[in-house]
Amino acid sequence: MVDVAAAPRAPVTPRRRRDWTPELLSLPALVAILAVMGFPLLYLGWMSLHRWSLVGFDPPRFVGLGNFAQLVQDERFVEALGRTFWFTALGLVSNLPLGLGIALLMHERFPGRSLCRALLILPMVATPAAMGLVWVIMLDPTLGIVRYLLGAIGIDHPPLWLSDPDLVVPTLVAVDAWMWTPMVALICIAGLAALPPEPFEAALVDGASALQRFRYLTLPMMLPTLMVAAMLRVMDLLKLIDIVYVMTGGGPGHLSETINLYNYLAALSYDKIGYGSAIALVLFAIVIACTLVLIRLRRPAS
Amino acid sequence: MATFLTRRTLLASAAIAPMVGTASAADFDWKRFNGSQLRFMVSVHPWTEWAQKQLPALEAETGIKVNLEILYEDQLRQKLPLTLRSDPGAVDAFFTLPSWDGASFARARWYAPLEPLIASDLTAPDWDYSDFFPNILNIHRLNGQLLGVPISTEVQALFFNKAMLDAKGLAPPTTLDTLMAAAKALNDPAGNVAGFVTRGDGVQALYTFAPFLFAYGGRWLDDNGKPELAGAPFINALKYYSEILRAAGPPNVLGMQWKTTYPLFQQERAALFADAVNFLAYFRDPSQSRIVDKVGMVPVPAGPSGSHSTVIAWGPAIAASSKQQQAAWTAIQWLTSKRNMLAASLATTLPSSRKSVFSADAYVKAAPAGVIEIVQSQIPNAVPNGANPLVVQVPETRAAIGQAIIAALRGEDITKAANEAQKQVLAIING
Repeated sequence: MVDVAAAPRAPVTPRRRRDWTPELLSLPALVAILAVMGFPLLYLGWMSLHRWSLVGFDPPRFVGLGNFAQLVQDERFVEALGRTFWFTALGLVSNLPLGLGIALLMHERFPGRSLCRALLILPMVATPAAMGLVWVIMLDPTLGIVRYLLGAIGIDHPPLWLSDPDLVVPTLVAVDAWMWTPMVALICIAGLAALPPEPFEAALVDGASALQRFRYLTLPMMLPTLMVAAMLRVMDLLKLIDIVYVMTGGGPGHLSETINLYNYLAALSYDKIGYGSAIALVLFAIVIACTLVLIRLRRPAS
Repeated sequence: MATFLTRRTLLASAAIAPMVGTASAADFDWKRFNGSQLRFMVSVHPWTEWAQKQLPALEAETGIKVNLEILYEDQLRQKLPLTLRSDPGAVDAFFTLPSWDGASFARARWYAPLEPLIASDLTAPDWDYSDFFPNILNIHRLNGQLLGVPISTEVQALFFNKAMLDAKGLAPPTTLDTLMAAAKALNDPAGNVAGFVTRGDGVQALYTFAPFLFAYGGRWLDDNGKPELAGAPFINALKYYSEILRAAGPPNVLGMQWKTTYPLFQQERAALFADAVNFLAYFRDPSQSRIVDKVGMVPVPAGPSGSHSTVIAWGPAIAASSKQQQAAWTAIQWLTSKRNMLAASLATTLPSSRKSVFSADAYVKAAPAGVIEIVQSQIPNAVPNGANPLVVQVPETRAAIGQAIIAALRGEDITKAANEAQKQVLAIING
């Protein structure tokens, strides 16, 4: 038998040797993330400090913060910035209540619920570019079916939708809402399904009305879920480009141009790679900032 | 209006004329570059689709194997500059639309001049340089040098609905004044019919606005390449364009792109329509058109300075960085020979850039009624590359001028909008 007590004890060190295994194991993932996320971002930053045309053989010319200084004076950029926030605000205000409403309906048991749920995601899975074109045709004030339907209910002078400077952004937001509210609804359906039944049963016993149950139970308990949906929508809306590009090209004039569309045009159409990079960097910072704010907002609720 | 021919271009064309046709056509050695492999980067276009089908015949007759890389136009505009810049020699020839990329590619020296090749024994005598309309060759002539071969002739026209004109006892309008009067007379908002429709999207509208600018004696740039947008012709044209569309256009004309203008005319929701002659195909197609037998065409309306359409043309050009320019020229020459240009026009219905095609019996029979007359009659007075200012920064310049068109269509101060466009374009050109 070995006398354990007699065995020489390892000297007690104040700190055990650091074990790097977890870091080593996560290193490949870290390298991969840095390569696919960090490098493009750094490169974008480098490009945003240069003037660079792809036509010809001139090398990029360093201009320091010149591109950013120009951004501040660029009316078109400043307007696109404000407009992008307008798009985002309108999008959120329409998407979240609608999405939650649809989710509440779909949460109830009724015949054909599965079919409804399946139909619900159709706009979301269709290609935005193709759907944008379909909407252009449907909204045409002379030939479109929307005009016909409005005429059938007695509206003879329907709005001009995409040609009306005041209506073009709300119209695009409506098409975007048609396309992406189902996603919000899906998230909310999942959130509703995960709510514990006990508080609702207790409320029923206490005689709370449906409205009270929604106001004091469903809504507060759904807030974290709504925040997730809001975060996803904010990220998408701030970067909105596809349906705008297809439906109006940013027009009439620049009246529906978003930052992302201007970014695309500046970099790839106007051949101003550096300037486009500066816009992209600003957009990136805005998206990150808004996301962080939403994450912070979500914390106390959970 | 000022001619776009310079003295140097005239001298260059005159110098070449005697050189062609010295050897007999039968002697020409098409197999000189037998075994060459070439890479052409082109856009999706009826002509390139046709060309792709000819590649086996091209290889059989010349021994040259052409690898045709067909990209959508937007993709071509991104990938081609990147490739020409970063990998010189990778592309031997490409498809170019000089009104769009001519000035920038010429400044980057990406085009190989063609005249030395045309004048040499590398060109078959029967290729016949003089068979091309001189004013169409001017589309691909930049800074006095021929840099590409135009494969078609794209002019504009004023389309009219015969039945609607007859009902009002109107003749097809040929002048600005008669067009304005006819458009207003035919406009019927209650009946949901517009008198006149054309593009109202800022960026796109430059194309359809150009003939009005030229009719008033205007031009995009002066002889020194400075914009000419603050002068009376531009302002008058803008006044006319906005007045006719505000008074007789569809209610949603603001922001209208061609994809929404032509259906109005096609579905009898507009009496008059101005755009490229190519749109005729949509109107003659019984499967989608209500006006197959009612559509007619006249040249773009004449103003104080006459009637001037724009004329643009895609065409193949040789990359200056190509190591196989002579082989590339042989392939392009084969594709643009008299015989093949006729075949291409028959297959694609695109009006040709060669005179001989217009007089070929097969084409005369196959061409839609009126096309030959409307194209041929407008070629001499058409403005090559007139669709927009021929500058390095075309898209940005178009956006800036488009803002003036939008402002005019919204009823804003036209002189102010024109001055602003002048200022903006000047800033863009000066970089």
